[in-house]
Amino acid sequence: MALNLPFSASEKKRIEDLLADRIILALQQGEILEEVAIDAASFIRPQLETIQDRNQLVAFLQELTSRWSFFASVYQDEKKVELIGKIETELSQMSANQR
Amino acid sequence: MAGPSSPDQRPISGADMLVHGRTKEIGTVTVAAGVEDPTAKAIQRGNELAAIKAERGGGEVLAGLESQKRRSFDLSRQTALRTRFGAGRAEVGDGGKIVLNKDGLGVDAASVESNSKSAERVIGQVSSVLNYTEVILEAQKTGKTPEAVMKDKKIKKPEWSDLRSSALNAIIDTDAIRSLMPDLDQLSDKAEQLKFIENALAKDPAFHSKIAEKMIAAEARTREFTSAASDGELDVHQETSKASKEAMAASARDAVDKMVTAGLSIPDADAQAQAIQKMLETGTNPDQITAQILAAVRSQQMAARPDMAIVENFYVAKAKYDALLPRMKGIKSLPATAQTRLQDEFDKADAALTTTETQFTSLADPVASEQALVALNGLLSAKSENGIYNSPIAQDLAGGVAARKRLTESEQAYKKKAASGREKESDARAQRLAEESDVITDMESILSESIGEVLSDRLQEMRSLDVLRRQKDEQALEETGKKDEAEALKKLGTAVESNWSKLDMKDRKRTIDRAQIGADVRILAYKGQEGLRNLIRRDLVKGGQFSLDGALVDVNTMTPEQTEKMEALIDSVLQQEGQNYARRLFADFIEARQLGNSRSKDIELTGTLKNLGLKDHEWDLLAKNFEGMITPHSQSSGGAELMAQLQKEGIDIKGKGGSFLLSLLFMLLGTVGVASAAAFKKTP
Repeated sequence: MALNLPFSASEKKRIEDLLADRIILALQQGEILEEVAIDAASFIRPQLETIQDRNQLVAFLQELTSRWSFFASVYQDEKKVELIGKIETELSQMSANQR
Repeated sequence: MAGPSSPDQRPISGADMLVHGRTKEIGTVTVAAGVEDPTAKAIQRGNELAAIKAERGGGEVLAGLESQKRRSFDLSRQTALRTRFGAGRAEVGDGGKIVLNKDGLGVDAASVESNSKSAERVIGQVSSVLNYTEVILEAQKTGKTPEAVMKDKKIKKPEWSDLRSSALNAIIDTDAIRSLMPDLDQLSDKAEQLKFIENALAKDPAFHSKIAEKMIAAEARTREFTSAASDGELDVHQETSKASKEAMAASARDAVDKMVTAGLSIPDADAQAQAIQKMLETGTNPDQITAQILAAVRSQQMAARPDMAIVENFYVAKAKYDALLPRMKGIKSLPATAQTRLQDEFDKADAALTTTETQFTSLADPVASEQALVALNGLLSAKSENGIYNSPIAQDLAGGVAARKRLTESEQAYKKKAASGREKESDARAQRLAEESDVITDMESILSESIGEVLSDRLQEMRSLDVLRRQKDEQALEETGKKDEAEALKKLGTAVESNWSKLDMKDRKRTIDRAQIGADVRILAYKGQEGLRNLIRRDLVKGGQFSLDGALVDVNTMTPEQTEKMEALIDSVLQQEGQNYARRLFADFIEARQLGNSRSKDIELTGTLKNLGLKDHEWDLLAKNFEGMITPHSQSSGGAELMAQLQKEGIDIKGKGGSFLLSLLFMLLGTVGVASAAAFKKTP
């Protein structure tokens, strides 16, 4: 099982940048209207303040995607990060067991 | 994209920009007959946010968008908030008025009232601005009259004109506006001031939202107030006391009912019950109360029935006589003195018996009288083997006695708790009042802070858009082979971003150099356009090098030809960038003035406020030299639209020779659109 890392300030900044990029792109491509961007940002900001660890982050992104599908790519990317972390942990455990 | 293609189409107006509190790409978004193209608007907004993201990061983008979310703090919340002040003693009375219950507050009453009044005043003031902006925004959005909107929103008082006037005056009286325009009163008449503030600030939804947001935050803090209500335990004791007294009253009534049923002489049953209740309540020793009550009732009955007293006296005398008789049989064996004393005692008993027997036998119905006395004794005086009254009346009184014991314990506990509770309550109230004062003090600056934040947001946005515009201009110059011009523009941009106000990207802290701002503004005042060129030249030759023909040249070792070329290039930059440069300096000047001596952790102020204070003649010089320059860009903008709106309402900013500061504020409030227009006009 992948480690449930704490949600650090730098991690928060990274996610803010990712989500802001996604909103900007969605606006620039005419995918969403400004009101949607406002609603999404108003949902994101307070939620991000409450997140403590990676599990909560992924759950939040899932919730975000269920509300606004244009965030799906961010959620999927983070899930991939999660999966990679899990595989790495398992591999290192296997390696430790063999030794 | 081309500009308006027909009279039915118009660019997004400056008023629209102010409505949305954000800049719009002028010339790229066209609308037909006043209807915006939301998709084009979204695309444009995306471009603007990309610029903000590039300079300040994703967090700022999200925060900026969130700030656009329309917050509200309606009438019911305004009323509820008022009740949070006054140490929990404020309630909503008839007609929504706040009623303060000062019972039992003692010396705290004055402080509680004072806090309540202060809260009422400040909430009233902020609420008037909130309600006014709510109405004007809704009226603007729906096309309804303000009066109609007020009716919809059930804002009954005051009348629209009074609401507008009080709200705008409250805004004008804020520290933020006063520090920006200390001589506002001299600059224009009151009606103009109100119109100016209304168009330039109050119609911005961001202003309303910021106020509402701060009121919501204040409201949240009031939920954390220390409770100053009575200690719950005291309430329990008061309840116990009340219940005990009720139990004693019931017990007394039951006993009296039984007495009446038993045929005792009770002329007034209620008075009898009250008398017994009083004895239950006031008797000093609960264990003796039953005996005292029974004795009192017996005494009352004996007084009412002399025949029973005669019967009793006879039996008492007989009992005494009978008790002495055995002793009299052995009297001869007693010493002489003892014989005399016993004989006297016996003679008295004999005499008493004779007397009482005569009285007894003289009774009309001695048997009936005796039976009545026996009945009375049975009813009142019967005792158990261990000496406790167990007569029916005593049993009725037992409930009252137990209640009296509970009352005694309750009162003792109440007194003890009341003393510590009162002390505790007083301490809690002092704490509560201090907390209330803190929130009231903070609420007093809500309007000022909101104005400051709106201006700062616009400034920040202007800065971001300026960066983007310069980048595009530089790119365009490079593409056309004008590398030296592009390099000069880049160097000037770096100077503009750090001369007067510099953002440290590491800790997000902005340093504002008041001394430099004041010095440079004075150069513009005294030297006009020449001063502007001097400042631009200073920034372009900073470091002693200048880019010529694609190479850096030392300005001190330039050939005359090179110097000539450099000066020509500086003239070119002045021509292209001078207005933006001056506008930016003035904007930083306004922000620095508006910040006053702010102690925000995100801002470091160097120099002093005095650096920013200009003398009257310096204002005159600035007005003379730059009045035309601050005229909004001709290519439509927030500023142009704002100016048009003001002119429509009879206010000619340009005509106000002495109102340069007002003009500067106007420029700041409306200039964002200019930057935006310039930034995006080259967008393919």
